[in-house]
Amino acid sequence: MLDRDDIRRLIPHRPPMLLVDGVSELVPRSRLVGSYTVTGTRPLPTVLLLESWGQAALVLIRHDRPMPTVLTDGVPIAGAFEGIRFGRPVLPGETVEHRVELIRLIADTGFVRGESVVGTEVVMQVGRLVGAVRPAAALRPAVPAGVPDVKEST
Amino acid sequence: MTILIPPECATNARIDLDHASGDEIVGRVRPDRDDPVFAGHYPGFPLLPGVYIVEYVHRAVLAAMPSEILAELVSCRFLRTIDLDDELVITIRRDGGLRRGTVAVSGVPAAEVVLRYQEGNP
Repeated sequence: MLDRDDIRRLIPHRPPMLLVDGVSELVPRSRLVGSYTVTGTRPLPTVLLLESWGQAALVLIRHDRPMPTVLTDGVPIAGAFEGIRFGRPVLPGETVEHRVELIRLIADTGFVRGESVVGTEVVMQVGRLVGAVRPAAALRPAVPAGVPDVKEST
Repeated sequence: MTILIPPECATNARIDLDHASGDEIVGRVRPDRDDPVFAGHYPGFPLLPGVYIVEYVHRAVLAAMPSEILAELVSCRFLRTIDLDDELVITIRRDGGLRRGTVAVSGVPAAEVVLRYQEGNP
């Protein structure tokens, strides 16, 4: 029901850190099924499997309030992880399916849980993830909101 | 020098071990500013992904004990944001079957990460 272009309009992550390709099921304020296909030649690094699941969770939380740009829409940050159990790695060419369930949403802080599967095999269980959205200026006071962080000229 | 990245790892940041024994590991790491990840996390606003902090602690364990296999991220709490220029000091203590890691910047804890590894691994 959502493809990669739709997802780019909803969350601010971009390649090489955009790790959700599609959403096949979305029940507002309740649950979501998202997917990501591993490209390249390496297995998906363990922590990027968790990042990918977290991005799917962000789509569930923000599908009705798109946040494509951090400087104006706020910055998604992780607050806590609990009980994240890892199974076997997800291999190149495999599609991992993320199942996300919203436990509770308080203002801009979301509590979610779920699992990731490849076919019928569970490759990660997520006991609980706490994520929040913070204004860019609150995270980096030195960068005025709306002004991109520019590298020094070479 | 080429830094070998373990197959399950996302970062090539170098961990410098200050101390490693069965009960305690102390290491230092600086985020790799040239990591291509920052182009997308986030455009115009490079921010260290929280999961990278988890990986730094895991990498410190691997630097001391290369054959360990990660079974569970038992818990992780982020206490403050980390700047790309910060040097992170990672202190990991064994607690039964768990590895309790603290990530500090200038002596101030920035994250607490508890990991569990597969049992019976040599």
